[in-house]
Amino acid sequence: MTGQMRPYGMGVVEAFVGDLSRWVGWAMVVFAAAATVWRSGLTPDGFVGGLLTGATALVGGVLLLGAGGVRQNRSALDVGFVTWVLLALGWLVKGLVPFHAIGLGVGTVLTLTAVLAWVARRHAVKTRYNPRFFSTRQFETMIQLADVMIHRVGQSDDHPIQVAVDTDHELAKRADTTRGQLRAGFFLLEWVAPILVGLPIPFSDLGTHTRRRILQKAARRRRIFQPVLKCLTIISNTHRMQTLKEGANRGGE
Amino acid sequence: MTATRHPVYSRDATVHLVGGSTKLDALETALGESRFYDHLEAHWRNSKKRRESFQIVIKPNIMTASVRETDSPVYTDPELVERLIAGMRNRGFTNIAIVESHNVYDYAYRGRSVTAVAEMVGYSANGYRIVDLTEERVPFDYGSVLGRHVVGKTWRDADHRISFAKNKTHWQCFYTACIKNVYGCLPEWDKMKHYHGKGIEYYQTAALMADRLPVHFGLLDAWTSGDGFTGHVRDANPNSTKTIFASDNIFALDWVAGEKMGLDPAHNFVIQEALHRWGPINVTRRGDLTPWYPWRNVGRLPVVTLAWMEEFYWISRFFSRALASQQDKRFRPVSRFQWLFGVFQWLTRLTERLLTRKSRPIRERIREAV
Repeated sequence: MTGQMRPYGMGVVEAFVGDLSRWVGWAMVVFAAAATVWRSGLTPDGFVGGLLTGATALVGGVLLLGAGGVRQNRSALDVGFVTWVLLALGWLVKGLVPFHAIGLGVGTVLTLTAVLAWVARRHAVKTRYNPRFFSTRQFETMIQLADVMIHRVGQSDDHPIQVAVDTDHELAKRADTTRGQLRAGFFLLEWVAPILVGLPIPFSDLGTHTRRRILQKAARRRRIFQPVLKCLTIISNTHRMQTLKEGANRGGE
Repeated sequence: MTATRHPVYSRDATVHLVGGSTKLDALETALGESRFYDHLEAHWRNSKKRRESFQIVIKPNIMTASVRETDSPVYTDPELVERLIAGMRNRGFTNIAIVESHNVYDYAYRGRSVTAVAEMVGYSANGYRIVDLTEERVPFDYGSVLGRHVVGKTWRDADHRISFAKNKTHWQCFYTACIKNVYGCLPEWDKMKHYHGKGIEYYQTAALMADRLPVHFGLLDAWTSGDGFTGHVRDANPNSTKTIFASDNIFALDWVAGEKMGLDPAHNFVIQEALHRWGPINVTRRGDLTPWYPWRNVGRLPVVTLAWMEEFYWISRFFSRALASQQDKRFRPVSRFQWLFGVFQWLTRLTERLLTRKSRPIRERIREAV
């Protein structure tokens, strides 16, 4: 039997993040259901207690959605992780004032698992790709950027992850001044540029078409998004250089 | 675009999985089917050296051995290695060495030189040399994460390198095979200090070692295999898997070794690093591809936890010593703090007895039903 190795599958830590989100998601949903049935025993009384119970079920559902596709559903996972932390804080506060043992216990468990999930998610990118130049967040942005760029130039044989890895390695070899420019460009692209299409959502969480629209709009606003355009130029040049090297290697065999 | 192409590992390859009535028969068949001797002869002809000066170096798995066992699931079977050496000697290749380096058992026990451990497990040194790479360190520039470091001279100067690994699970990367076996050629004994931790990962160093000093042929002793959480150092219930793997590409061989364990090989950090370095290749599998049964893999949680913990040198060092519970009597414990570590080692032995059990037949029934 002959077959090619599958190079861009999920890393083990990514798979673990999915597992953890699924376990915690189910635990939240089950706890919320149980708290609805045995309300007085499990949750603090009053409006806030009810609100926390409802929010627990909702966050659990979002986490389950995110766990269904750590990469594809990353926006759900992002929302799930942020609300997980907020929920944990809510339970902690409500468990402390006035004191409610179960509430405090739930808050503590949610806090610990949320910390574990954040660390694991960060670790997932590091262990899967071990970026040498980009930070873990920048690397994620780079993958999404590569996804748009390679389709734009019609090189659909390239995989965005491989382009990101190669660009990262190539940039790491250089000791020039591009580091600061890239950092500024990636920050603008990830957190500011999505506003151009009316979506205050990180660039990495958006779909391919929306990301492409953002790049097109950024290109029209050269003055503000100069660092982003500079980034694209650097990455394009790096990518072209890598392709040429690759061609030379193949030609030399 | 692909990762940097490597002259050995980036080529498509065939992996042979061979069984037999005895382990020696299986080895001979594997060597025949994989055309090992043709490969060796071609390599020798290209070297333009005389046969007797053509240096062949074999890296078996030796230093993970703590005690001598019949059909050990932990270290490469010396009988297999010596049969391979005899086959090469019969063809006129007489400059043969087996190599290893000290490892983290030195935290806990004294006198574990490669020669002493090799002798313990049954190597005769008859017609070949046993070389301790830790004792023959010379400077070497690996580039990448290791940069200017040291290498064992015999491994560096080899004309033909063979990785003869053991088929077993590993708590840091799910399983270990031929690439991870080459990690054992890195000469420093304190591997946690030099090859693990912040800014450097063991899987990077393993792949880098294989990259810079390429292995020309890989063999995997899967006659008796170690599974479960501690499979790479001890297994109370070894698995009689009765197979020898052979390939001229250890990257491909390691991939198939993972498939046989029912794993996604890319989850193994070593394979993942290799994929980044050498890119994906086409692998042809020849032999029985049915996953091992019974077989227990290491879970994701321990692998993820240990990947994080190994960033901290003193934690890794502490546990490496505390869990080293079993050792041949000829190797005495390190005396410093042994009163403390002796307690941990006793606890480890006790816990192992409580937690270790044979695979349950029910699993087989469920599997058949599915």
